[in-house]
Amino acid sequence: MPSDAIEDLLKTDFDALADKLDRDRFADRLLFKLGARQRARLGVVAFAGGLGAAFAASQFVEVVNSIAPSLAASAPELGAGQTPQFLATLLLAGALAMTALVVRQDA
Amino acid sequence: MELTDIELVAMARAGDERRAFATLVRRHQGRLRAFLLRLCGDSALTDDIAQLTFMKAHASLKAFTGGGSFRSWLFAIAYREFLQDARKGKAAARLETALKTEPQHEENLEPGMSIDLRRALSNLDEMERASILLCDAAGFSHSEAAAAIGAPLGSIKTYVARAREQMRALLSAEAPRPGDLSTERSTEGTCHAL
Repeated sequence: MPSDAIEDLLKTDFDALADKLDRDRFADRLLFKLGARQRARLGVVAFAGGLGAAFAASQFVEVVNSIAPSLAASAPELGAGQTPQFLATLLLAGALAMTALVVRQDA
Repeated sequence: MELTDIELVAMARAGDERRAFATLVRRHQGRLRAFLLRLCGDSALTDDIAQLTFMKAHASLKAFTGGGSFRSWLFAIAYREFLQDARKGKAAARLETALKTEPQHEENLEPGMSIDLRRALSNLDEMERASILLCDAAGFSHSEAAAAIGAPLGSIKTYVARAREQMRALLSAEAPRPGDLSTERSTEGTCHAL
């Protein structure tokens, strides 16, 4: 048997096998597993964010009480009753922006 | 237009890692697993090693310098993983088991010839088997095969020539003729016309 025939035999066998393996679900399974690490990271970030938000919320009344008088003084157009809502909106917007930044980096 | 491996690696480094690496996986997984399957003879072990290979490649993609081809870098990781497994003694036992069982991916070929081919391959030592698979089956150049196996270029040429000679003898059931080594075809570049 000439060397050419052995090469042809090996190549035919290899190409047929590679073609068959190309069509199974290995790549999908592998990419799902690789994505799992990123999903876990996002989960940790979300958990840490939630924990931080819960802590911030528990302190919110004290924070508002300490900041609201000076905010009301510097921005008299805000009614005294609106200051806590304004602060809450500000904090929420900041938290959303930071979360969006983290998620964008992971996407 | 299809992006090259190097362009995809650059894309992954630039931040589009998920999409670029997915393309690299889909492009190379079939041939990498075919190489491993013919090397170790066990489909479960093949998938384990291939998975580990891609995970390591993913983790160290930034370490790929681009000095050689991406596929030789990838196959080098796979071959190292195969050797590590072989050192643990698992591969030898699995190969023996696989040779005793029915082939799992052979239905595209003439069954008798495929079994002969498997037997002939299993009679080669690891380096010869890896060399002839990379050069004659997967279409690697000698340089790429040397990079993948981590052996000197001259050794790869010797392994390929020796493996061809042994396979020819085994497949044709004739005694090998020492003067008939096909080393004249083993020049730098590809091992066969691509």
